[in-house]
Amino acid sequence: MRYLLKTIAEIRRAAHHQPLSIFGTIITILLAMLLPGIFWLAANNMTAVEKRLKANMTVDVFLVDDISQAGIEKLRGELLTLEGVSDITFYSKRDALFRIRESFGQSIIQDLDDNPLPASFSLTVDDTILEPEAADSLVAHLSALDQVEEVVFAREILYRFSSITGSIKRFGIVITVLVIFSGIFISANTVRVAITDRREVVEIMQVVGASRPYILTPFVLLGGLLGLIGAALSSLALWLIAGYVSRNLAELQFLSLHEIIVFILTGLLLGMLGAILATRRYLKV
Amino acid sequence: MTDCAHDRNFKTMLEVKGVTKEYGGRITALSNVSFELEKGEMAFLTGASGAGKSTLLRLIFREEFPTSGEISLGPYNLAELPGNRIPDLRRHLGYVFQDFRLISERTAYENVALSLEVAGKSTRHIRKRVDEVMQQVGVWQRRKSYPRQLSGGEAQRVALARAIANEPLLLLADEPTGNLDMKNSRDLFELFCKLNLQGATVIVATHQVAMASEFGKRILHLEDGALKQDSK
Ligand SMILES: Nc1ncnc2c1ncn2[C@@H]1O[C@H](COP(=O)(O)OP(=O)(O)O)[C@@H](O)[C@H]1O
Ligand SMILES: [Mg+2]
Repeated sequence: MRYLLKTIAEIRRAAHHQPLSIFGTIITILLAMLLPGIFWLAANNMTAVEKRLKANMTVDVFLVDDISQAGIEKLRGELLTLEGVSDITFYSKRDALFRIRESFGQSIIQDLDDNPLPASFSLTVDDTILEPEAADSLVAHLSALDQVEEVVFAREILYRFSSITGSIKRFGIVITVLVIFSGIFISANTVRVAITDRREVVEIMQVVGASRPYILTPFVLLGGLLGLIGAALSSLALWLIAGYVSRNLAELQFLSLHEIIVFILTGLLLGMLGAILATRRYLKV
Repeated sequence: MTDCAHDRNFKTMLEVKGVTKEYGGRITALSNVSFELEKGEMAFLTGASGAGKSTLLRLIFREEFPTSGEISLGPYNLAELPGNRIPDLRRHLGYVFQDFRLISERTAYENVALSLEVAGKSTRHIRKRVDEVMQQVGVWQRRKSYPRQLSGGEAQRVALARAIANEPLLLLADEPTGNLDMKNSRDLFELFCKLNLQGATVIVATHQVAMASEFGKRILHLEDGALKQDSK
């Protein structure tokens, strides 16, 4: 209890004696943490889109024009035994025409007497098939089947998307590491100034036999508090930004409560770590 | 070493054995100093400026190590004392400086309470003990004043109250009268003697050799780092 009061007194004194340094530290941590926060948000949303994309990924197997009903059933049987194929839908030539009309409007192909569109199977596949090699071998296998005219698996877009998401994540990690280091440095600097400001008292404390933790805890908590407030404000700013983007650009999902807590705790930790660094360098008892 | 600091059944409180302290290999601040101080004894450590008085007190306070020789204080052998036990040692030592070293934004009362807070004493004990020691040194009336509102003599008494609050094994004072006039200096020395009569073990370092000899206490006289005279 006395510890807590001491800490509060120390923090009030620091805020009073060096308001600019305290304020500046919080703002700097706020701004610095915004960057990894944005990357985190972006990566999360990209991953969500990627997941949806994957779930809707189909392999279209177009059949030869003169395939018989028996041939269709036989092929369906064969397809169902394939590894990684979770669902099959058959589209007849007529279905194909409907689908095209739905997409492009009534007028198209309307005038044609003969329906030139092929019948097809649409395969829903597992994530395992989405790996490039598995996908290639599946396509090769399907193409080689009798009665199959052509196989279309539009996976390029998924790969490109995945690679962008991957880059964002890697870049985000680098940024995060950099920001954590600079955050620690900033906190260390501010706490060092606070201790220097209290040099006289710290020395007297040592003379009367105060232990290191007794003297230093308030300063470590000061650093932690700076990080905590900076990170909390940063997550608030992030929330405002995400809201703005959602309203004006594209629907974004914000960080989960769990992730927000991790974000703020990171601020707390880097603040305390910086403070500990400052105190280690400063006090030799 | 077990914590037997509260076991005060030792006769010799301080033992300084062949202590030499050199700085940078060229300056010899202390050379081969030996003496013992019994429990309840008081000594003035005298000598001209630069004789090595402060150095000796710093060694006892474990701010520095002797270049050679040994110091033990009650149950503590300073050479063997690990760094993390220094605060513990200092809670069993009282130290009074020439420049008082009071915390300026704390009242006299709070300054005295500091040494008890640091030792983890209960609030009730602190209140009782602070009143007690402030009365003992005669500054109880000034307990609500801030250091800048105190005269030099009063400030030094507050510092003294802080030093004795924990009932230290040994009370050390380094030129405690350095910032005081003659009258206040004499009063303060008398106060040290009074505390000694009440049982405290005391070393007072001072360059005021003549005044120190008025009190009939043991005199340890240093010259150029060597113990030239021990009146015992
Ligand atoms: N940290 C130090 N580094 C170098 N020399 C020192 C240091 N401390 C004291 N000395 C030297 O040791 C000698 C004794 O100093 P000191 O103990 O302060 O004397 P006194 O307190 O009796 O005036 C002096 O010559 C002083 O210059
Ligand atoms: Mg001196």
